[in-house]
Amino acid sequence: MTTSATAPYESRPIESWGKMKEVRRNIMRDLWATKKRGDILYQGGYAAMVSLPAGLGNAGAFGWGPAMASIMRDPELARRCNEASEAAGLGSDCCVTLRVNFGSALVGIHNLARSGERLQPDFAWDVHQCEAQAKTAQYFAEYYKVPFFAIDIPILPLTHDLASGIKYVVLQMHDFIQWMEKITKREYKDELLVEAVKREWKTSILWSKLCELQKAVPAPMDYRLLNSLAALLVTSKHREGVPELMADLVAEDEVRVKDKVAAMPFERCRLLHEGQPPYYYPPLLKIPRDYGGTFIGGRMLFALHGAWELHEDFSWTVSKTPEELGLPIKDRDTALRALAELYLTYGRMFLQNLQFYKGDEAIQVARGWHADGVVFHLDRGCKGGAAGNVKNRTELQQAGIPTMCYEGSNADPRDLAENQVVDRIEAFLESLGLKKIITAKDGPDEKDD
Amino acid sequence: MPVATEQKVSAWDKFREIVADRHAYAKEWKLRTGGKAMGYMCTYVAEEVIYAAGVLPVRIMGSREPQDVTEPYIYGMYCPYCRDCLAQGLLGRYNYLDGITETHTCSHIRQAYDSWQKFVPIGFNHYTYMPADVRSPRAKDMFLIELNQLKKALEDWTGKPITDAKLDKATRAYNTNRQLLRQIYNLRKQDPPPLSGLEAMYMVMSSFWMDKAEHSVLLRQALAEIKQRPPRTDSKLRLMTIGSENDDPELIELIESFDAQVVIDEQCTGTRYFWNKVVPQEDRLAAIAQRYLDRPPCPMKDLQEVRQRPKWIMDRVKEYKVQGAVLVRLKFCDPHEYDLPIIRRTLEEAGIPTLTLERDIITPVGQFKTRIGAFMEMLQADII
Repeated sequence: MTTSATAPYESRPIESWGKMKEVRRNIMRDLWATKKRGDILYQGGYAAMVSLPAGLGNAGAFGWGPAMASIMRDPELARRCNEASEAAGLGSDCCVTLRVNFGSALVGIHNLARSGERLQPDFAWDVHQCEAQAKTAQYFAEYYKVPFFAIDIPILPLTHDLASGIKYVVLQMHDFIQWMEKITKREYKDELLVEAVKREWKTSILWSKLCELQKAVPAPMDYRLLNSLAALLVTSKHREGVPELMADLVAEDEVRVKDKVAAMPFERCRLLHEGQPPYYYPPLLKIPRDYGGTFIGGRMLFALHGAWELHEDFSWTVSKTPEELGLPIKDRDTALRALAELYLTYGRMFLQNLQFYKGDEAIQVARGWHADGVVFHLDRGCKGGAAGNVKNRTELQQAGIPTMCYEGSNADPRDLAENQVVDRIEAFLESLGLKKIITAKDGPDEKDD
Repeated sequence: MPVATEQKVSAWDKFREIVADRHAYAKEWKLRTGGKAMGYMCTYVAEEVIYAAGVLPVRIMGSREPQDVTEPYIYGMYCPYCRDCLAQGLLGRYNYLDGITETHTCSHIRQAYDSWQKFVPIGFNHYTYMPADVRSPRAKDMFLIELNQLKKALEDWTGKPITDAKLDKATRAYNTNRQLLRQIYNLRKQDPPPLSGLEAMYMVMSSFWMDKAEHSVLLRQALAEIKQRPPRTDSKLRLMTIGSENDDPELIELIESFDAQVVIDEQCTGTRYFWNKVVPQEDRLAAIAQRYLDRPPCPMKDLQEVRQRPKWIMDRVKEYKVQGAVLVRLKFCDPHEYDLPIIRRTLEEAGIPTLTLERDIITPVGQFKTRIGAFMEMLQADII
């Protein structure tokens, strides 16, 4: 069933997007030039506490894999990488981010620069909050034969002594810094750490502000645009230029909200997408567009890079700044304390691993962001992200919020039955009373991804 | 009239009986003692603290039967064991429990615990954070704080203080039990060993549901009974099983139905559960904390640059003169999947052939029989 209609909202591209691409490109260029500069290169350092190696200078971060975006643009390559990991003995049902990135090493592209040079990391490290995260760094440490360090993140319920958890993480960070100095034989400069932590905090708050602006009807951005920032945020929240970019995006979004400029000209239905999307299949996030629907974000996406204050009813508001919270960032110790607080007290990503509150938070996010429905990705490749999802789905349904689930994988195309999933999402949209709109093709350009 | 003599039940039959009818013991224990029973799922739960509170720790395990009650709670790509555990709660099979507790372990078991404490009516629940990097110098202080919280929660719940004397008594009971299990395991170094792998599994698993003091009585009886056994002369292939919960005695029985014997294991229904003891310290909880940090780690807890598990496994391979290893992994069990390639490589580089079996809660007997049979033929050919 289709219907023709006139778009109720104005839509236009994000003006700062060009700058975003430039910042992203510069960071990638910078990464591949790490060794030429004589700087340290590390594997890991993904999505949290990324400031820690900053005291070593302009260290380059591989994250989990610098080729991830290229692999996701090429589903056939994604298949090859996954299969290479499986041939090396990893189960096809374990963390796909580990499989695809480790597989990229096995097929020879993980550390291969465009110049043809191969970059050898100096060490591997990561925080450990799900089963896979530091284990991935451990795998790479063994592969590249470099030292390895894990920082264990305590997953504590709200009833526990959070101060002890903060202290535990801070002490491990101190150990990590001493370890880095020892293995790299470089002086660690606290003033660089201080500046990096300030930027990591700032970026996190600005991310939350950007997400909070999504509460507006119509939403100024959609899931795809927000998620396009992930490549920057997972490894580079602490780098110069990133908080500045985020500030520009927030400022532009505020104007868009004021002027009711929409991401999608039709916003008859606001949807949340829970779990990472199948990165190799971008059309999925565009399906609602044809029905006048918009994926405006998701609890996991908002949580992943943000700094949020959690309230008693499990709703979130953007966190205050470290200064306002009484967390001055002046020296090594205060910087590490502020960094631990950012992820243990104000980050909603790690603590979701406990699952206790995930359902309550999902309901509050759906209500706070005025969502008409929630689409859950039962991600076979991310146990942490999908944990509790079927239970949360029931909890949302009981709270009167329509939901649907689809099975897939964020990075393994073999796990997604595309046609079936498209059919299911379309059926869900129709169950919400929507019909296909003939003219709804004038959203942000595809190249904006 | 002849006086009727009571036929004493063999300890080995009793172990098997406890495993087969696992709920009967705890129910009877509660009636007999008037005490409370506390369920837990992961062997990183510090049972000594619960025992010191006068509460019987009871391990929640699956029943290895097909079930359809967990779909609204846990997505089907999480390990079948965690779903099986939750199913037991949803089906009311552990409804004699007065409380439930869990420690920080994999996201699979944490989901089972989360849904249990929310959807299965229960009087008490408490979660304890257990550090993931157990060899970190910072882990002990963190864990100790959490154990103190567990102790306080138990005291509040039972209304009785957990004194040092009670902790000492509990620690002694657990250490004695562990020492006896080690003593019997040591006998398996003999060729041929005087007990089968199946018997060893029943012996360890029965301790999950029994009061440790009473289980130790059975272990002493079992030791005495072993001495009465006629010496064996049949030498069989010596195997090690390695894996996660591996809670299926039928699988061990199947392996041993060939010309082979499981002489040692590395699994949480075996050595990982009991291998090391609490070394007494002035601070009782600190001593208990150290025991759990020092125990043979599961993959969730092995986060050092030099992995602990491969060395621990190789040490047992040498001690027990292992000739082949069966790596048993549960479908969807990520932590074990991450370690498996490294462990397999370590064993094979040391000349120990391996067979990897991926199982669900139900062992596919026909398939496995063929694969195990082929593995045995290969091993025998290698040895000849």
